[in-house]
Amino acid sequence: MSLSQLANVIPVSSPQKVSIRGGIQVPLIPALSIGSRALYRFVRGGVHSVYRQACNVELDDGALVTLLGREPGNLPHGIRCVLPEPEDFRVWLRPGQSVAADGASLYVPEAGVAIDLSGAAHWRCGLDGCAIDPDAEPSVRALRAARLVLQQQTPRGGFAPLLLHDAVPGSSMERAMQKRLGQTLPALSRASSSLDCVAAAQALEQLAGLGPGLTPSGDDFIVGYLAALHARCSHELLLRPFLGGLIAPMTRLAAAANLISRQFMVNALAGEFSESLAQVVLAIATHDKLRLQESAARLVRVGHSSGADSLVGLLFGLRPWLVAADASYPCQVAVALT
Amino acid sequence: MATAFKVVPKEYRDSVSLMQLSALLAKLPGVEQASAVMATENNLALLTEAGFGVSATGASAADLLIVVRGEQSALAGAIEEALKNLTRQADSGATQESAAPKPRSIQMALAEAGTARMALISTPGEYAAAEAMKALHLGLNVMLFSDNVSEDEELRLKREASKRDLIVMGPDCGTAIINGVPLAFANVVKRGPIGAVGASGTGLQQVTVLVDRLGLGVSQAIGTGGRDLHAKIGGISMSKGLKDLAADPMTRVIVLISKPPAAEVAERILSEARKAGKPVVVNFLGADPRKISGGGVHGARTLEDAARAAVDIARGELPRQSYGDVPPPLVGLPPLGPGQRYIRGLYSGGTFCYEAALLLDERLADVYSNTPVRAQGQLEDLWRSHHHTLIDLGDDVFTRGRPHPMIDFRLRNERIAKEAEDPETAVILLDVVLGYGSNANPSGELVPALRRAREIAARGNRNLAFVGYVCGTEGDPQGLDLQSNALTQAGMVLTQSNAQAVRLAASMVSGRAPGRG
Amino acid sequence: MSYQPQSAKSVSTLFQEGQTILNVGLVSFAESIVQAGGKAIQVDWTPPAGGDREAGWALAELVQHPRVESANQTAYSNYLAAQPMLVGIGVARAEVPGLAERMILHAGPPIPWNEMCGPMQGAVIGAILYEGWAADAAAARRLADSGAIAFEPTHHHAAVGPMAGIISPSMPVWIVENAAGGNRAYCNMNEGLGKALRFGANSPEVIKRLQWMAGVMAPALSAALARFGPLELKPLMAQALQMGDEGHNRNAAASSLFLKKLVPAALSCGFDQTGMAEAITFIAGNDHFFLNLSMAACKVMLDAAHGVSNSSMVTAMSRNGVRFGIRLSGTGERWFEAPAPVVHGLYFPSYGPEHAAPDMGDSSITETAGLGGFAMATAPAIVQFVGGSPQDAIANTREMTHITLGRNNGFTLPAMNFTGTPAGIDARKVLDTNIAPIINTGIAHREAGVGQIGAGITRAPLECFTQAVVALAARVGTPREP
Repeated sequence: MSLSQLANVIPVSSPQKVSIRGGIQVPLIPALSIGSRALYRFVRGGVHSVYRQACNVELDDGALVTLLGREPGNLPHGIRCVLPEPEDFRVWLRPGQSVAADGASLYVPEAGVAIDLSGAAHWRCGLDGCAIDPDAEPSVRALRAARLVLQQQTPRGGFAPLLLHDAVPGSSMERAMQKRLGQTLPALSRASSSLDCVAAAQALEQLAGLGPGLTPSGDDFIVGYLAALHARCSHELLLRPFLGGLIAPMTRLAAAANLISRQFMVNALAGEFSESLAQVVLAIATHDKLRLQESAARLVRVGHSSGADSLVGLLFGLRPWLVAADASYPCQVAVALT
Repeated sequence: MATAFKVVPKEYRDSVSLMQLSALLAKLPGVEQASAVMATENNLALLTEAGFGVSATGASAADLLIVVRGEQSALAGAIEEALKNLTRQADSGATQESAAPKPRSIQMALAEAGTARMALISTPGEYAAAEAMKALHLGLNVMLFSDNVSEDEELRLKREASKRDLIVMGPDCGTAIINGVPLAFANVVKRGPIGAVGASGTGLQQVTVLVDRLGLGVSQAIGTGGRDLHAKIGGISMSKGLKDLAADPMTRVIVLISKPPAAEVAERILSEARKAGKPVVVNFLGADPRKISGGGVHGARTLEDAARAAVDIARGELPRQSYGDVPPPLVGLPPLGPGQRYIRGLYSGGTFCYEAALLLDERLADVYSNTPVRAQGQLEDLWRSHHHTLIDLGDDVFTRGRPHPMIDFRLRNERIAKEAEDPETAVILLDVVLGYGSNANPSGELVPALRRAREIAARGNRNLAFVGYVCGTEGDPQGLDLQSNALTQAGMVLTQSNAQAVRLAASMVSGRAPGRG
Repeated sequence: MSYQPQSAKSVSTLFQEGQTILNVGLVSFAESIVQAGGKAIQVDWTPPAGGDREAGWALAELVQHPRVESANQTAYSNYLAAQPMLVGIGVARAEVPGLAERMILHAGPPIPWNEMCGPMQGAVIGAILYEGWAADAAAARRLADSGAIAFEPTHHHAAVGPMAGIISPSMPVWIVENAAGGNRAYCNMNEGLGKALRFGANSPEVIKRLQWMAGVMAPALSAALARFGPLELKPLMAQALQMGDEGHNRNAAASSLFLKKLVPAALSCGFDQTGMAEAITFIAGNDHFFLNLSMAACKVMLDAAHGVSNSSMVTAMSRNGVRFGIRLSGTGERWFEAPAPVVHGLYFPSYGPEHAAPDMGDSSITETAGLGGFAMATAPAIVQFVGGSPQDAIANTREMTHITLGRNNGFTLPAMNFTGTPAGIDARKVLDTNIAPIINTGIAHREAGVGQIGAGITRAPLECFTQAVVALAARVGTPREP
């Protein structure tokens, strides 16, 4: 299902009631869709963090399920709902509140919130069988177009400004980060060209947890990079065992990450990605220019730099030279790459 | 350039907030760079590479790390600002302009300052006791500066305090030094092994100042208020202060200061002092020290004796029965005319006046005062001295509608001039009290008055002797040396203590008047 | 901080290093402490209880009193747990407990007929005419003078009403039930702006409208209500708060949300279409329609908290146009009263303070429950009425946090980053801080029947809280063991 289709699916009937304690009736919030990794997932958890259009719930087994409002796209571990007015999780939910589910509904008793899962569509990111041949001319055009969007709408932080623009960054943190990227990215590129899992794992280790953001830029980059590898797998068969060899080291890296990054990484290892990232991959695969513009612009707007960082990772994973500046303005990374 | 950092565990701010936080911190004066990132290993490495030396062991990817770099003096404030930004319930809403209102009650203030353990109350007397009761109910100790609190109210407060193992210092408690911080009228003294509990504010000031000047320091100086040792109150606060100092590891010698308590109260206090487990020096001003000494308790006669004995004990030496019974030599003093025979003591500290009266009682006859002892006469018209006169200028008569003489010197200066006009005045005795709460420049106030007094006396072909002492330390805002020098240059003779000044004055006039000499 | 007994050899809390000293009185003491390297907070102190010494002592005895603290916890949690549900509409005589046949209920603390202010007397006369107990206004007045009618406060009958707050036996009332505690509360229905009974108007058109409300609107609403069953009021009110309402003086959002619920049910409930259309049109045209429901909901929440022995939580604030009265949870049926204060506000063109009636009505039950003036941060438009800014609105709400037992997370305020509104007024804290509860209110003309002439902000008189605390202290007594 595409985003625009989903936005139109709004239940018309008045919400049913469910009794959650002592005869008190609360209206059920209808869920629109539920991701594959959130389906039948859990019985018990607690609210971890709350934002306007998202609420993270940490399950007792350590996994993450994210409640989403209508604005964000789907997530493999997400449950998208139609919140009553005003559409803002912060109105009801607070970190620490306990969450329970019984298959048909999800309850947050302390907040008087109940989500009806029974009518939700099952969402998958749909990248199985998606194939990108990065060398094909239409793909190259699509990749260039994606990079252009990224260049034009570069956020203030993260990897994108350091890689796509030639200005020397102002802060010592950013300079150090740029230097680190200049060392690590070429190594990662060489490792994936030569299908060297060990070298790739080492390079990824240098990137995990690196940089600003609640999900550090490096983590978002890695997710994008893994999406690229998955998309290339159909054409470049030897990438499959390479990917397989990355599972163990990546799982270790994920374990050290925070709950949110970890879930994204675990999803990525299983070939599951967020809708906003998946849309860009699909647009590149189908060489759909309009769709690419829309979805790339949308992805770049996710988080502060999270979306942009995952787009950088995606482009890098498809063709590393894409994240070097145009040849006439070489930057450190371009010089380092062969 | 220095670096400071703080790990905030399990802080899940969205990235925009983090970015805004960094920007906010970077704008603070004195901050060069600021960063707010998740405390992953790689970020820690990056920070080191970038020149921010942080070692945040135990931090994980779920924790937020705030790092600031800049001038050393600005860093603590920047970190605090960052924490405030994060943990603020953020009801400042859209703008940061609305500031938190000042607390309107003790309970509100306590909610703001979690570390508070004491309330200092100086409201008008009719409300002070109720405020103190609230403070006790909230688990706070109380220093009650206010006077005009009834004895009944005082007893009620002190009983409530006892139930909760708290102390009420006061009412009418003008001096305390708690944890090295001078409260109300108190001096800046070194921290050290001598603890004091006193029913007299100026008594505590004298003892603590002398301890400091003798090279040691004060652990705590606890005031009890002037009525604590009356029979009705029974010494509840002195008893508690004694107990607290006995249990305080920093205190090695305890000093108790008061006018003589009611007999049964004195007995109880002394028996508790003997069980304190530490040496206790007791100055019940006016009581016979020999009747007090024994069983680990050393009786002192004057405030100075108490201070010196405590210092000697703390140094491992045996304390003397009395210090300085021998008056200092009469050198460098102006010659007095035959008609000049009387001492006029103009005191800002009531206890000093009382101590002076006690000391003069053994030496001179015809002493009048508004705080007379034994056979001494009550001064009838407080505005007119005759014979030897010792005045406590802190008496209600003088302070009604006027600031206390320790702050406002006008009344005393006028009185100095008046004494100078009297041809029988020989010596004018003065106490000069420094420390927080007192006048900002006593010598500046006194010197012109001394000069004027000399001029008045000179017109009558007389000299005048000004004798006194400065109750203060170098650490006081007014500065001991500065004050002492100015007074000495103006011709005042300064001694080490009230007791010495009184003895000096007494020896100057002895033999000049009929009676004991 | 509660009492912690010290063990025999432990160090006194007085000697705790690094403590902050709370300074009450001379500012110079706090300044000296800081200069000397210590830490101090200056308490912005004024004599509590308006300088009344006896009250000051009573207050001191109640501060942090274990029995009062525990009673407040009980009362406050009962209030928080309350779930007001609109369960139906009924006729006052059948639903309102204790409403005798010749009885008229009025807003505020008890007041005899001859002391009532002009607008309230006008409203009473209107009610007498509506009930048919007299043929004209003069006869109605004579009937009232004669003593044949009993006048009692709405609060004594689990009811509330805005402005004059008149409820007579034949009037339709909202029935709101607390699903958590089982108690019920009632309120009359809002007549709309302009010439209305609650402002003291009693002309034939006012009476006719009342009759229409009872004969057409109430049955129509009843039928519609039956379609969607009991309506949870708290979530609706919470949503309205997010949309710029504060539940007392601004009710447009709540009224709209209610209308949204109502219309589909109204269209499909099979009631006579003409009558239903009239009712819907009437309701749609009245931005304050929800006020009466808001008041009933607040009354039900606070009644759940009332009657907890030793509690200092305020469970009612109300005005009868002459006097302002409050009740505490722990002092039973007693009212603590003071002269009704003047309202500072903005007047509609050609009106001024000289035309204003003193503050009147049960609608301050909303402030008592944490809405209205307490939630002002969420309705900055209100402060325009006193020439203030949105910052002032936020400051006012924040000020209220210092006199309340907690924050009600059922009603969150976006302007304060979604923290709950301050709720549960603690009479002790009011006296201790001299911060009086703030009330957003409408201003009526002092002459019966003219109507609303402005709106503004007023404060509950401290005197009420002084009396209340003294009374509570006498009941709680000593010793202080829990």
